[in-house]
This record gives sequence, structure tokens and C-alpha cells, in this order.
Amino acid sequence: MTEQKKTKKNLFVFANRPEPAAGGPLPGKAASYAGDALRQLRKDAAAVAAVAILAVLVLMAVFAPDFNEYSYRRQLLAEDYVNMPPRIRGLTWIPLFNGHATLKERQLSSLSDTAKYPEGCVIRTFNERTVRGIPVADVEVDYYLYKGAGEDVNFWFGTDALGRDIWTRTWRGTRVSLLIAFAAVLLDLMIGTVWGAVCGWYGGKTDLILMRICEVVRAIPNVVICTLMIMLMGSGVGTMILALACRNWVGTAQLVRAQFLRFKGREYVLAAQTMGASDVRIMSRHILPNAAGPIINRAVMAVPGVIFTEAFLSYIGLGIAAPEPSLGNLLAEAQGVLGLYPTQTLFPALIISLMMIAFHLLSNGLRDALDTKTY
Amino acid sequence: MRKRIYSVLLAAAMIILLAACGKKPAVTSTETSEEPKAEPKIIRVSSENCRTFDPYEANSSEDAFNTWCQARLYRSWTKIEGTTDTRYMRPELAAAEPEQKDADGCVWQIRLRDNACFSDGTPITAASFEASMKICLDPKMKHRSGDNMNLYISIKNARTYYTGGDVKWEDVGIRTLEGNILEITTEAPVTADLVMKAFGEYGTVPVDPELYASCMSADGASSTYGSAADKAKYCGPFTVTKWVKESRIVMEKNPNYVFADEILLDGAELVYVQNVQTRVEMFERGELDAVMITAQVGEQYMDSPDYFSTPSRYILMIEINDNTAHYNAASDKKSEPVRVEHRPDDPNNADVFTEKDGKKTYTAKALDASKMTKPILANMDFKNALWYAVDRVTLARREGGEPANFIVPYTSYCGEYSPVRFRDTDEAKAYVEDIEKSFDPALAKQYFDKAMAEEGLDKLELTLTISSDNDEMRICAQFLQEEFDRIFEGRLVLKIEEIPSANRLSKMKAWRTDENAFELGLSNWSRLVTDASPMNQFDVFSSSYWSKCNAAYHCETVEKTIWLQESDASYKTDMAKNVAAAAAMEKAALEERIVIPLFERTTQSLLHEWVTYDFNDPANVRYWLCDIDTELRK
Repeated sequence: MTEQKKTKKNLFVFANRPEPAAGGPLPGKAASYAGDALRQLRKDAAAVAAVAILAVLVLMAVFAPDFNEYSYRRQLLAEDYVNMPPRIRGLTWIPLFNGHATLKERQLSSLSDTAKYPEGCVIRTFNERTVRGIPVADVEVDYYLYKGAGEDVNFWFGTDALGRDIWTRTWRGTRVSLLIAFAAVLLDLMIGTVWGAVCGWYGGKTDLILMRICEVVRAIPNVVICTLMIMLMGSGVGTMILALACRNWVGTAQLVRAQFLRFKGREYVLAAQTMGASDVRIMSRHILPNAAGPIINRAVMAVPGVIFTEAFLSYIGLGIAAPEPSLGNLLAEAQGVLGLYPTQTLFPALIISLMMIAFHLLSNGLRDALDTKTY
Repeated sequence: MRKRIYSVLLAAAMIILLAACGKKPAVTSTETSEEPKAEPKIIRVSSENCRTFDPYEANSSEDAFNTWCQARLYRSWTKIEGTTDTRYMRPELAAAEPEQKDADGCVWQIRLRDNACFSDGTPITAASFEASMKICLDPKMKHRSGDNMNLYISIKNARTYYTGGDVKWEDVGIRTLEGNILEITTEAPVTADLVMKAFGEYGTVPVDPELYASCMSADGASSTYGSAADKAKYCGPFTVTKWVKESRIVMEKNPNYVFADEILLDGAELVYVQNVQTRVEMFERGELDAVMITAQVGEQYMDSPDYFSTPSRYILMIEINDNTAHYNAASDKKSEPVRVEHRPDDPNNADVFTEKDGKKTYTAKALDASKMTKPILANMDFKNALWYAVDRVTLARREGGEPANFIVPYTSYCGEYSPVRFRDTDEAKAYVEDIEKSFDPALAKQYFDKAMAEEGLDKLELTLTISSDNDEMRICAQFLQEEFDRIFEGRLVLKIEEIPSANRLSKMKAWRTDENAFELGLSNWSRLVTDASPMNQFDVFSSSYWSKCNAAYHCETVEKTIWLQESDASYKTDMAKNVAAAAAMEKAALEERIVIPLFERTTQSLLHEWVTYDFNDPANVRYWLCDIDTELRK
């Protein structure tokens, strides 16, 4: 076995160029692929906005659950603070955050009963009519006064059927959804990249067998895999991550394989082989960086898909178990009372929509930025 | 040129379209000469999902809707009529009250009406009634209604036949006589009133034996009778004319009903709407006349004149799979499998049938105690911990119910015609503690710590099984989860398992063969037939309720007392005796914490103005079509 010596760069000279090019080396730093992509991305206003939105959402997911004194599972049933509308001190001029609610078909004669309607809680009556000979109306009330809550009690996004603070639960749910999405996509990338690289690089029977396995896994519907895994392992964050990753990696593997097939015959790969570089080194140092663009793009595209699948599974009762919130189970709980307490649906729906849009805009921007043909 | 043709065609098409959208032409004088037809009077109500119209199958709380529906589709011998003060048993399919044929009161004969027939005109005879009862008690089919045959009277050998004992149908005390007469022989003396009550319920209605037989499976263990509108024959005030599964049921007046002239409604339309919000919207738009709502929606409408809240007559409770209690009772060593024998002479309690020298013996199945993964479930200190850890007042307020630290609901009356509620009797008041005292977090913690020390545990994880389609249960489960976590300082982790109702029941009932079928569950018993007999509330907690027990329960006092009804009919007729026995059973059951009662549920509804309904009448539980055959008949 011969000892491999480290060759110095200055030992190499250009064979057909006895002197350095006229004018000397170009001034400044040479632009890297990543630098180029970043510069391209910065030019895309939609992608920049998406990054800003995602940054805010991630920061809020991390810190917002601790912005007030309520925990995500604390129930305020004893205080009877259930289904409270949102109220933010200083923003009560915005109808959404004024803490008002409409009570249906209230008997007009009972509105003066302060035991039922504390002093000053009735804002206005409307839709007056007679039901069974009794005059009734829909009544807009200051729900906080109606429930006897003091000025210092404010639920920024309101409360749910068990008196839990929706602000805390929504942001914690966002955190859980993002955590699951990032972890699942990371796992998906790890498995898919290795699998695809091995298939693409070695080819032959290895490729044949591994790709057939991929096809079998791909043929099983995602929901079936998720359901089986949840039944087997019980619901929880870990299970959700595994369940969501255990099929999605197939797509990544196929993409990586295609990239490897594309690059493995290139001159620089042949040169590396000639110089005795190992398979792992060639795959990781020479081919993978060149295939990074489509892989990154796919990963970013996969995040909203995973968030949506997680939300869907939670929505149908297969996802994160109570009392842990996720955007899906928050929506599932709120949709039954959408007409009566719309804000319970509004905020989780708004956040999941923003995330979806932002991730899609970002992935569009990345696709353009990482595509060398656009330079 | 082509453009011009297209333009002309387009213009013509628009003219035709606009003409079609125009006003209906005025009615000519010849058309108006016809008499305007009266609008058919149809009630439209939101309904639960309907599984079957087989009167012998629908008998669980999940099938509550079916039972109410069936009360309008079927009739038996008698029906309770009148209000609280004027209540009486009216013979329906029976021509008259039953006649006593022996000195003791064990043999009774009842003659059926000659004009009694099904909706299609098929006559209902004593012979077809007997054949129906044979189907009801079929040991292969194990109909749920077979259990009910023991509620008011014990028909001779009926239970043995039903449970697959060594008895032929000819030995069962139901026999057809000449003259369209049915003879009933009971195990112990009974009264005419009890006989009428026994055959006044949905489980004892007749079916068409021929149609039933044609719907039977090859092995005779199941039937598709009642699975479609035309796969059943009806003998009540209404017939099902259309049934779109999970969508709509259309009922029409049955012209062959014995009191057809009394029914004023022309029909009913039952619309299955799962989402309560949609139900309310349909109600507000006038598309439904009556809807059932949840406590959450009820909060919004509670002051409305259209809002009605009535007790549901059942108590939501925590069921504990503590069948280790059997082993504790029989052996100190839990690790040793013990064969427990409940009344080995009684086949009703049998899970294991053995035959030796031609003689069958029946014993309860021996469960292997060593397989119990959570023996703490049978620990009395643990049960006490659960008992004192539930803030029933807060929970009941959230659910719009009444807090309950008792088993017999507040709506149970001391007799069919009595205005006295069981809960108001001195016997019942004697042992039920003040509701505020039943919530004591400090005491709960003490009991919990003791139980954990006894079992050598630091942390405990339990699964609470609930129905995924029940919002009330979900809220209750999450409330308990948080309360237990708070009170037991994170040492008891309650996981909530949500599964569809039918699967939940099957899972829970598997405790007989699987030691770890479930751990904790939320459920309730709803049985209208028990309302007038406090004692009967305990059927479901005894081994006499062969096919339904959700858990082992195993309370010796209940086991011994409940059987007294069979040998001594006075427990069913003498209300003082009945109340005393019920109180004794409830006291023991509560002391042994066979279940942890939470709150008495209510049914909240929105009814349109024209739907009249007497909610003060204890016979009326829900609005389900009650006005069809009560209020609107006047």
C-alpha cells in the first residue's frame, strides 16, 4: 500500500501559459454558488416577504406562549372564563379585539336584570322580534363585564370551551407544528439523500433493489402509514415526526438519485476517482453540493406539506393528543362552534394560512435562486 | 357571416334563458276553481345517526335515537298514556288487560286485537307474537333486548333459553292458545300491571317472523332485518317510507295502526346533521322544527323562549376496569389465577360452559390476575383518590348538567304513577354526602399517595377511553386530565383515547376475556324502563345484565339484592321495599366506588313555536316526535 502524499498547489503550473494572465488576478472575492443564490433571492420581493413572515412566526412560536400568565393547559373553568372573545387593552377600538360578543334571542324583559346582565354590559340590541309571544332580540354585550371579569383580565385571542387561553395555545400549537415539520423534513432529507445517493452512485442491482423498495413504500397511502404508526406507537410529537417522514423520504431519494445519475459521469467526478478519492468523499464533496439546489428546494416545499398533513391528521383526531395543542387540533376543536365563536377558528387558520403562503413563496424564490440557468 | 349567425343564436339562447327565469304566469280562473289542498303536517327534526330499525337490536345509549324512533314505529301490548296525574296503561295490540289464570299469579293470558296488523296489512296474531319472542330470545343472536325480558317479570325459563342453557323453546313460558291468546308463565307471582309493563317496551314488540327469517344469515347469528326501510314491518303510528343512510329518514302515518285516527301529524322527516352548528343554522332558517344542541351552543340560547333543557336521565361516570377485584375477593395472592364462581347454578353468569356426564355447568371465566398490567385499578385508595379529585360542580356547570355523587339519576321516580323522586326519599338522602364534600383535593392526594405507595409506583399513566363522536365526553375527559395532573402533581398522567362509540363499547365489554381490555372509560346508562323502579337502575351493575356490563363492578350487595326481584315480585310492586333495596344497593356501590359518578346529563333543544311539548311530564324525556302521538293527538 502506498503512502498518499499531500500535493502542494504551487507544484502545479499551467502547461500552456508560461506567464500569468495580463492584468493579474481579478479583484475582489470570487462569487460562490451560495452567494449568487442569496443575491438572487434578495431580489425576489415575495421571497423576502416570506422569509420575514416565517421569521416572525418562528419567533412568536418560540417566545409568544410565555407572553402572558396563562399556560397552554390551564383551564379557567372555576372562573367561568369559557369561550371568551378576544380583548387587547389599547386595541379595543378594533372590533375584533374589543371583547364584545353577541348573545342570541335574549328576552328583552330580562335585560334590566343586573344579576344576569351586570351594569353596563349590554352594548346594543338588534334583530328584535317576538318568539312564542315574548319579545326577544340579539344582544351585543361586553362579554368580560357579562362574565364579571375585571379590567386586568384580557385574553388576546380569547378562550376555548375549557377556558384555556387561545393565544398561548395557538402559538404553542404553531411551535409544535413547526417542530414536527422541520424534524420530519430533516429526517426525510437524511434518509432520502443517503438512499438516493447510494442508488444513483452504485447503480446496477443495488439501484434496482433499492428503487423497487421505494416504489413499494410510495404505493402505500400516507394516511394509512400515519394511522398505522399512530395506532402502534400512540399519538405524540415523536410518532408524528416518524409517521410523516417514513414515506416522504421516497420522493427525496428519487430526486437525489436523479441528480447523482446526472453528475456521476462529469469530468470532475472522473478526476476525483482518478486521484483515488473514496466513494463517500466523491458523493459528499463532489456530487452532493452540485445537487444541493433541487434538494433544498424540495425540502422547503416539503415543509408546508408536512404542516398541512399534521394539521389534517390532528383535525381528524389522529394527531397530537390533548392537552398538547397543534394547529390541526385547535382547528378541529373550533370548527364545531365556528358560527358562534369564529375567533377560535380565525387565529389558528390565519397562522396556518400565512405559513403555507410563506413557505410556498420562499420555495418559489429558492427554486429561481438556486437554478444556475437564471444567472 | 358566421359571426352574425353566432350572434343571432346567442341572442336567441339568452331570450330563452331570460324567459325561463321570468315570473310564473298568472293562474287562470279554471285552475283556481280547484280546492286548495291542505298542507301536510310534517315535523322536521335533526336526528342522530340511525343504525337499524330492528327493534331487538337498538338498545344502547348510542342507539338512543333508534329507540325513540322505534317508539313511534312499533307498539307492543300496552303503552303508558296520560300525564303525571292521569297515567295509565292503555292496551294497544292487546285487546284488554291480561287475565290471571292461576291462584298464585304466575300464569297470565292476554288476547290480541283481531284487527292488529303490520303496516302492509299482515295480521299480528298470538302465534306471530310468540315467534317474535322466540327471535328476541334467540341464544345465537343474543339480541340486546333479550336482557330486558327480565326487567319487570321473569318469564319461565326465558333467561336460561336466552343464555344458551339446556332448555327447549317449548319449555319457555310463552305459549299460543286458541282464540288469538298468548299465555305467559312466570317464575314467581306477578301482577297484571307488571305483565303489562313488561310488554309495553320496545324490546317486546312483534316483528314479522317470515321477513325476519328471510333476512337471517346462514349461521342464524345475525339478521339484516330493519337495515333498510323495506326490510321491516311496522305496527306503530308511523312507517318508514324512505331511509337514506346517514342522511334522512322519512316517516308517514301508518293507516293500519290500531289508533290511526288519533294521529294528527301526516309525517316526520328526520335529518341527520352531525355538526351542531349546522343544525342550529338550519333551525334558524326554518328548515328544521326541532334540534338538539350541545352545552356550548346552549350557553348562547339559554334565554331564548325556543330553548328547552330537560334531564337526560343518565349519569356520566368513570368506569374502572378493576376486575382484579374478583381476585382480591377470592385470593390474597394476585399472581395466582383464581376461578371465580358467581352463582354457578345460574347459566346467566356463565362465561365458561362445561359438560360432564351430560350435565352442563356454568362458571365465570377465570381471568389471569398476573396479566393485569395496572393492578392499582382495583386499589380502594386509588378509587377514593379518583372520587375526591373530581370537581363535579364545575364540571356540571360546564356541561350544563347537575353534579352527581350518586348512581340513580334525579329523574328516577318511585313507581310508575308516583310523583316522588327516589333522590328525595329519606332512604336515598341518608348516605349521599354533600356534593361539595365530594371534591377534596387534599384528601384525594392523600389517598393517591397511599395507593401509589401500596403498589410501589412513582408515576402512573392511565388511558381514559371515550367516544370520539361525543363533544361532551371530550370536554369532560380533558377536564379530568388537567384536574388529575394538578391534584396529583403530575404523578397521574391521563391519556385520552378517542374511538367511535360502537368500538368503545366493544372494547370495554371485552373485559370479560381480556384482563387489560381498557383502563378507565367514560360512559353512562340510559334506560327509560328503569325510571319507575329505582331498583332496576342496578341491573346494569350486576351480573344479571349478562350482555351489557361495561366492567366487572362486582359489588356483593348489588349481586345479592338484585336477584330478589326474581323470586319475590313484591320488590317490584311494593315501592317502599323497592326503594329500600335500591338505597341499600346504591349505598354499597358508592362505598365500594364501583364507578365514579360525575354529573347528570341534560338534553338541550331548540324547538319552533308550533312544536308543543310538556316538559314537566316525567314520561317525556326528549322531543323526539313525542308530540306526534301525545300533544297533537288531542
